[in-house]
Formats: sequence, structure tokens, C-alpha cells
Amino acid sequence: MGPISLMLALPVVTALLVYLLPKKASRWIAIIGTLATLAISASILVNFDIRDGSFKFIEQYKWIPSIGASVLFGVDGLSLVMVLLSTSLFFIAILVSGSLVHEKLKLYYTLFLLLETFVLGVFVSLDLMLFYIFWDLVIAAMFFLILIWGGSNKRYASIKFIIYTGAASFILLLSIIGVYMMSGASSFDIRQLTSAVYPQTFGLIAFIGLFFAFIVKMPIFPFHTWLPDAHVEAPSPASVILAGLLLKMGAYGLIRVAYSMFPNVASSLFVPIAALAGISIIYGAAVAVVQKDLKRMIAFSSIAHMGMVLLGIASMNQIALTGAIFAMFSHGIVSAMGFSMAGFIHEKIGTRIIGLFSGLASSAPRMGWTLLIVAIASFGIPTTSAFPAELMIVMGAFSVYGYYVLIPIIGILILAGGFLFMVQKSSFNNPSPKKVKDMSFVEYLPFIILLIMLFFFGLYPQFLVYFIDSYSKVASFIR
Amino acid sequence: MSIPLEYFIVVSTALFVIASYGIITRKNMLVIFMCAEVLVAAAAINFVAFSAFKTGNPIGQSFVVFGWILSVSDTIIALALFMYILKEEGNIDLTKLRKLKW
Amino acid sequence: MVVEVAYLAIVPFILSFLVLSIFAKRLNRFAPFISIFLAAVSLAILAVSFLEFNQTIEVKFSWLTFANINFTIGFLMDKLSMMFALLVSIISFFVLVYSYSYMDKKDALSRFHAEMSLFAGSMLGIVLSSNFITLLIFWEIVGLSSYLLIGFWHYKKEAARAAKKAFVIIILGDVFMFAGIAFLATQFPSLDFNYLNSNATSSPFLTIAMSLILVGAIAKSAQFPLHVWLGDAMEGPTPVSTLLHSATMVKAGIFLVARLLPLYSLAHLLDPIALIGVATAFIGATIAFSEIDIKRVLAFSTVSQLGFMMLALGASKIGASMLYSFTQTFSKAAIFMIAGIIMHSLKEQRDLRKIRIRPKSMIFYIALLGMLVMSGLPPFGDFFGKDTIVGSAMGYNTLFFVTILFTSFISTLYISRWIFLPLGNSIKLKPEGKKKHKIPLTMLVPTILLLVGAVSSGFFTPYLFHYFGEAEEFNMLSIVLSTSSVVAAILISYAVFYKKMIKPIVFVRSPLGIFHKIFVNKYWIDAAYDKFALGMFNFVFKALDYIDVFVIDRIVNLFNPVSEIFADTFKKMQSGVTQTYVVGILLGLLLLFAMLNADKIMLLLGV
Repeated sequence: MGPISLMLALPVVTALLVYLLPKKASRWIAIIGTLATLAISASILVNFDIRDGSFKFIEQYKWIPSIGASVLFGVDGLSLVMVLLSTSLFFIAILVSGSLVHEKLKLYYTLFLLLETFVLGVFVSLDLMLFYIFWDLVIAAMFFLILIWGGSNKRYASIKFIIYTGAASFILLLSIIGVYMMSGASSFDIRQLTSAVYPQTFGLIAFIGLFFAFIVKMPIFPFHTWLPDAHVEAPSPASVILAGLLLKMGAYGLIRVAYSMFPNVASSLFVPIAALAGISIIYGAAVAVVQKDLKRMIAFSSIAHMGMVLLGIASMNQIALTGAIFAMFSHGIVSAMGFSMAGFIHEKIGTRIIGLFSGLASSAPRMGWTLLIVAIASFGIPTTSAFPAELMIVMGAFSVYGYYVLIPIIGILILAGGFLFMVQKSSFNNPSPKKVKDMSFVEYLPFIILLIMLFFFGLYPQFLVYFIDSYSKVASFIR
Repeated sequence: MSIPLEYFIVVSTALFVIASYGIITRKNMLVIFMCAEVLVAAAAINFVAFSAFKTGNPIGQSFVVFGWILSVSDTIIALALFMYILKEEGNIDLTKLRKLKW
Repeated sequence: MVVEVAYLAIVPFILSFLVLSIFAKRLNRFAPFISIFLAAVSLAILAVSFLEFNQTIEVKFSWLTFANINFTIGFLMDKLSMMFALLVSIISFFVLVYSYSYMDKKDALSRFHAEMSLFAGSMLGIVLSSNFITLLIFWEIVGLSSYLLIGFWHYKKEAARAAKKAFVIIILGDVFMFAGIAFLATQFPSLDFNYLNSNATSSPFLTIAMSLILVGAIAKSAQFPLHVWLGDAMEGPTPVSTLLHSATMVKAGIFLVARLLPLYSLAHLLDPIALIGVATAFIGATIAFSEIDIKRVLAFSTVSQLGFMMLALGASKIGASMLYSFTQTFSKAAIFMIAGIIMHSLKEQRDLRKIRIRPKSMIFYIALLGMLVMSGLPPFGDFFGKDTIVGSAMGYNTLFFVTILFTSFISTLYISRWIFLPLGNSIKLKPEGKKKHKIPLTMLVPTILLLVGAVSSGFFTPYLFHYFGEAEEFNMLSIVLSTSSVVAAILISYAVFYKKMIKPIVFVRSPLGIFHKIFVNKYWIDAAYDKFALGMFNFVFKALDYIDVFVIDRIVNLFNPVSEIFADTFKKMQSGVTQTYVVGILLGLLLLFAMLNADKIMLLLGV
């Protein structure tokens, strides 16, 4: 049993333990479980050989030989980075859950841990059928998390979430089946499907189908409206996973499946795709700025940031792609911080409405100053991981789109201004309410971890780029 | 064989059609049930006829025996259910029993 | 050799920032000492480096390398950077000492000193950087620390608002600068300043990229039209105003343009730069002339002076620009400290019409000296600085020359008004009757030292020009014009504001009063930004939000009624009448039969 299957199995085993053992131990079992999973992913990282761009740590097991679907795992530079992000964020989310989730704990941790396996499964599956199954399982698990532990409008939000993303994943299924049948290969192995040759018109249809499915997940304008409601109503740790990982699944799918299999189609559509990305960025930023609910604001900013990621992917060159993948990682960290902080603010003050609370820098310095860091990280201030990401995306996009790149730049500016205004109202000005219980050191620990990550990758991006580059160098659609 | 096979087929088909018509049109559940039994009889005729005309293979006739036994058992259950429905709803008029709808 | 690691002078400041941030509560009492000590360490490193300096040194650390990118964090120790670095660390040190007495013990001293150290360290970073990436990193941190420091008393609404305004404008500049740098990075293999200065060629691309970068410089150095934040920035504590907004941070833009002058020349942007400079100088001076807040006069004065420096750069006279930058650092910092001393002794009174300076007091002499230095009177430092700039304008463009000469006149007017008004007040208003206020030594000594520097900086003129390899040019005509305008301005000011021979109100009520209205309202630029820009954006964004919720989402939710209609139609099939189902079954059977025996049926029908 290889490291990858071990890594996938561990959360399931932990979930089982949580379910069987008494409620008091649930949280600790979950913490240890996710920490162990993180450790395994770290060991994969350490032993990762980057000399060529192929998949490593491959494991294959028989599954449905008659249609060529097997259980096939493997990681390359791209998935390794995603796996690392996943294990880290799940660990953080579990830590944060301790303070923010109070009911049906056993069920919660069980479900959450299963979600970890599903998410990891999406990123390590090299069999398209298996990929799809994990993809759907993620949606299902998230649906329940929102429905059971969500906010006041959870029914509407969770049902909208599952129907919208479910419809998109149905299109995904159709596209996958189509690709399988037209590829001539008798297997769902992504490597084989990528190198197969497809007829022209089919390629266009398949790409559009895949593109649509992944776009909804990222989400990109105009298919983004499920996100704000889902985020606002989801419990904060689930929002962390939703923003930090689920959205990235969409981008990952775009890179791994859509762009890799149909580079020529993607190349011919590079203008409309970039236009979509640009609109997403500006629209997301503009609408984010006028939101009253803190979580909704961060949700719309996520739309803008994923627009930047799409821009990087659409440019189809090595620098932009590296930037996009880096941005996926960085945004995972930043949104984890943002949504966790929003959760704590709701927990300690009772509201998330911007303007109803202020002066956090005086009354609850840990919360107030972290909010400031989230704000400045959102527009890519140097020393944070967002800066190298943005720099690479802008550079890569400029080579392809020239001065039009200034349009998304304006989006970033709008976002910066908006977040600043938010921080101004929330952290500075006169404290109101006057007495706020600040976060304890234990509660703040996950944030310390996130801050370390944020600044480490901001000051030393080479570490991450080392791995991303091994993939982007040989990605089949690089021009 | 003195009576040609086709005659048997015709008879069983006729019975089948008459019984179907009865099922579709009648209101009284008991009558519908009787028509269902006629359906079974029609099928039985078919089986026996084919089996008789194919010498040396009694399988059709054995089927009929099986079928009768099964038919008897489901008659028992059906009649018991009809009694219950009569007690609950007060009638066994199919047009008035519409609970299995949207 | 210490000079080889001169960039390590940044480290003590960063260390101070980190230590004071993490252990803020525990170290509150010791904060001033920690920061002053570490500032002294930094100063020592730079002083020794400056003395050892004899040739350019460049040090690089790899930051991001892949594909054809090779970004490094690089430091350049050359004439320009060494001078600026030393200047920055001297002023930082003095201001930190000054703030020991200025800041109230009840303030959050740890945070103040942490933020000040962060600023000083990153300012050094800007000055010592050798490539755009390094510059950008420190540049944005400087902006951040400026925001934090302006809004230091963040529970004060005015301060918070001012900080927000400053940061928005600076971020605007930063983002455009980021874009310009990213564009440059795609066209050149290296972002080193020296490389770019020697290897760039003229092209529309270069003009666009450099313009974007220029926006950042304009924002940071409060040039027109992005100057509106500096006046409000005076809400911050006076040490902040002294360090950031007179002597160092605002110079960053000037410094950048100076560093990249060859590039700007190639990009054909020198004329716009000069234009912006002269416009800023004029606007700043005229607004300063009508301000009544003791610090805001100085803030707009800084805007004006930066305009002078920008003009000189546009005229390709880097020597003149740097000379004025050098002398102005001392004089402006000194004046701000003086203002701080005045405010401190009068419980933070800031209205010039209400402040009293007693003649023949220590404050009076110091303030008078400061005023004389700043007014550009020979042989004090600022005279040399201003005059060389005015002289360079003469050779560049006559209109600019006339404007800048007039601006110079107004500059002297406003700074002499600045002292004559309070002096005049002491005659009219009743004396306080309190004990004479004692100026703390830690505030007095830096002030005096800076004044000495300001006074004597003029003597460095030949040395500085030589330093930059330019021949000094002294134009007799411009010297005469400058000096006479200075003297005239002082006399007029004395008459109007001190002796009250002509009441200012006469001027306001006359037809010339329209100018007064324009100046007092700051040309309505502020109002334009507030009402127009913000209002418009707010409206547009709210509209988009509305569209999002009521249009796009509604379309998605159409899925609901559509599927309901669909379901409603088909549910009628489940009528509940059992016989309907039976019919269905029979029909289905029939169909199945037909499908299975399609061929035979065809035959039967004779098809």
C-alpha cells in the first residue's frame, strides 16, 4: 500500500474512530488524524523527484476492467501542491472547528474527515471515472455540511449549491463519457486520454462541456451566484474548505482535463476566456466592495481571485501557469484566514455585518490586526504569497494580452480599496462594542500557522515554484 | 389433432382481449379481479395448446399447474385485501380509490 | 569592509519592528530605548560604510528563478544610495529621540516604535535597492507603515479617515507601478536599474511602462494630482509628519525618478515630469499660503518643495534636485520639530491665529532661524538648493522659470507668515500668566542639530555637485531675482502679518480675493475626489450588486419554476386511477411485441 492510498485511507479510518468513540474525544482524534495525513503528504513532498514532469508514486488497482476504469493514483508538481494545500487546510479547519462548531460534533467530524478523503481523491486520481466519483462525493459531503450546521438561510443555500454544482458535474460526466468514447482508448487513464487524438468538432464540444463544468466550480462570472449564498450560510470551517479547496478543484480540473486534452481548442478561444476572466475579476471586486456581510465580501473577492487564476491558465504560457497555480495555493491560505476570522468575529461579537462592530485593533488586537493582514494580502502586498503569484500572472498574461491586462489590474485596485474600507471600519475607529473577548492563544494558533505560511511563501517563493515548475515546464499545452 | 393450433390461439387471444377490456372498463374491484383470472386462464390455454402440439414436451402443461397454484395463492391474498379495503374505505369502487396519485 | 554589507543597516530596524510587535504589551515601557538603540546601530553601520565608500558595490540574493525569470533581491551601494541612506538613518535616529518626549506615556509606545522602525527599515530598503523587485517590496511596505502611522491614534475619526485617504492614493500608485514593473519584466532579462539605464531603447512600450511607474512616484511624493493625502496626513503624530512626510518617505518618488532618469529620458517623459513638478510647486505653495493649521502649512509646503525637485529632474538637472533634496531634508525636519515643540507647549493648539510665540524666548529664536533658513535666504542651505533649481528652469522653459520664481516668492511668503502670525498674536492676545514652558532636551537637541545641518548644508554644494559629476552652474540673474524676491517676501510678510499695517482681510475682500477662495478650498480638488470619484464608484458598484442579486441570481432561480412547470405537467400522468396504469402497461407490452417482431410485421403488411 503506497503513501497515496495511505494518505487517502487515513481520514476515513479517523472518521471511523470518531464515529465509534465517545463524543469528548472526537475533536482530538480529528486533530491527530489530520495532522498525520499532513505528515504523510509532507513525506511525499520530501521524497518527490522533480527531474521530469511525469507522475510519481503511482499506484494502480483493478476496479472495472471491462470499461477500463481502474483505481489509479499519482502525483505530479501540480497535484502535489494541491495535496499539500488540502492537508494543511483540513488540519487548520479542524483546529478552528473546535471553537466554532458546537452541535452534533461526532457527525460533524466524521463528515468532515470523509470530505478530506474525497478532496484528496480528486487531486490524486489519474483515472477520470474515479476523479468524477470523488468530485461528486465532495459536492454531496459539502451539501450536508451546509445543510446541517449552516446559518439562517441554510436550506436555500445548500440546495442551490447542490443543484447548481450538481448540474455542472452532470455536464462533466457527459463530457467525460464523450471523451472516453471518442478517444479510441479503452481506459479512463488521464495520461492516455490526454495523448489521444480527437476529431476537431468533437474537441470543441467536449472542451466547452468540460470548460463549463469547471467554470461553475471556480466560479467564474456569470455562473458564480451559488457561491455567495453557500459561503455565507456554511459554517466557517466548511467555508475554509469551500473557498480554499473546492474552488481550486475547478481550476485543477480545467488544467488537468480541459486544457491538457484540448489545447488547440483552448488556444483558439483564448480571447473570450480571458474576457470572462477579466469580467470576473472586475465584477467580483466591484460587488465585493459594497457588501455588508463580511463573509459575503470575502466570497466575492474569491470570485475575483479565481478570475486571476483563470487569466493565468488562459494565457497558456509557463510563467502565467506557474503564477496561476501559485495563486491557487496562496488564495487558499488567505481565504482560510479570512473565513476563519469572519467565523470568530461572528462567534465573539455576534454579527458579521461590517459597520456594526469597529475598533477591533483596540478591543481585540489579535482579531483586528489579523483582519488587516487579510486585507493587504488580498491585493498582493509584497512579503505575502499573493505577490509572487500576481506578479507571475500579470507577466505571463501581458505576453499574450498586452495592455488589456491593465483591466484586471484595476480590479485588484478596487478590491484593495474595498478591503481597506472594511478594515478601516472594523479594526480602526472607536471600539464598539467596547468589550470584546479576544481570541485566546489556543484559538489563535491556527492563524499563527497560516501567517507563517503566508509570509514564508511570500518571502521565499522559490520553494513552491520548484515543484510547480516541474509541472508547468512540461505541461502539454504550453505555447 | 383434430382442432388446429390456430383455433386455440384465437380463443386465447380473444379471451385475453375480453379480459383486458374488462380490467380497463369495470369499476368493481372484484369483477376486475375475476377478469385478471380470466387473463391467466387465457395464458394457460396458450401454454397447454403449444405444449400439446409439440409432442414429447410436457413443460407447458406443467407450467399451467404451477400457474394455477400461484394464481390461487394470490387470489387468497387479494380477497383478504379487498375485505380490508372494504372495511376501510366503504367501497371497492376503483374509480373512487385514488390514493396512489401525485 | 563594512560598506560591503551596508544593506544590513536595514536589519536592526526590522528586528526592532518584530520584537516590538510580538512582545508589544510587555515591552511598552522600553520601546523607545529599544528602537533608539537599534536605530543607532543602523546609523553606525551606515556612517562607517559612508566613510569607507569609494566604489559602487552590488549585492544580490536569488529570490525567484525559473523559466527565463531571474528575480533577485538586490542592494546597490553607490553615491546616490549611500548619501540618501545616511540621511534617512540620521533623520530617523533624531526623530526617534525627539519622539521620546513628544509621545505621551499613555500612547501605545510599542506599536508606535515598531511601526516607525518598520518604516525606517523599509525606507532604507528603497534607497539601497538595486532592482525593481526589491524596490517594489520595500516601496509597498513603506506605504503600509505610513498608513499605520498616520492612523496611529486610530480611535480618532479624523486620523482614521486621513490614513484611509493616504493609503488609497498610495495603493493606487503602487498598483500601477506594479503593473509597469511586471510589463518591464517581460521585455528585459534583468530588472536591475543599472542594466535598464544602459540597455533600454526608446519605444512606445517603454513610455507606457515608465508612465505606470511614474504614477507610483507621483502618488508617493504627493505630486499633483495625487497630492491630496499629504495635508490630511498631518493628523498623525508630529514625529510621523517629521520623518515620513517631510524628510524621507515623500522623497521616495523623487529618488526613484532620479535613479531612473536615463530611462525617463528615453521614454520622452521628462517634459511631463517637469510640468507636473512646476504645477505641484505652484499649487502647493498657494494652498500653503492660505492654510491656518500650523502643520498643514508645512504639509503643503512639502508638496511644493517636492514639486521643485521634480521640476529639476524634468529639466535633467539631477544635481540641483538632489542638492535641494539634501538641504530641504534638514530644514523641513527641523521646522516640523519646531512646530512640534510649539504645539507641545501649547497643548496641541494648531490654529495659527491662536498660537502665541513670545518674542525673545528660546522658541522664538529657534523658529525665526528655521524660517530664515527655509525661506531661501543666502547663505543658508535652502538658498543654494532652491536657487539652482530656479536657475535650471531658466534654461529649460521660460514659462516654467517665471512660474517657479513666483512660486519661490510665495514660498517665502507662507513660511514667514507662518512665524509672523503667531508672533503678532502675542501682542494682541493676553499673556497666559503661566510659568515659562521648558523644552525637553531630547526635543531640543535634535532640533538644534538639524538646524545646524540646515544652515550649513549650503556649504556642501560644490561637494554635492561634484559627487554627482555635474558642473555647478550659478546664474547671476537668477540669484539676484531669487534673493530679492525672498527679501521682498519677508518684508511684505512682516508688514502684513506682524505689524498688521495692511490687514489681510482687505486682500480677501478685494477683487483679488477670488484667488483666496481658490486657495482656501484647495482648488476644490479634494471635493472633486470625494464627491465625484467616490460617489460615482459607489453608485456603479451598488448597481452591480443589485444586478447580481436581482438579475443574475433570478435567472438561476428560474430553474425552480421551470422545473415545477415541467413536473406539474408530467405529474398528471399519475392520476391515481389504477386502470390508466393498466392501459399503460398493455400499451407498453404491445410496443415491445411490435419492436421484437418488427420484421415479421413488416412482412405481414406487405411492406
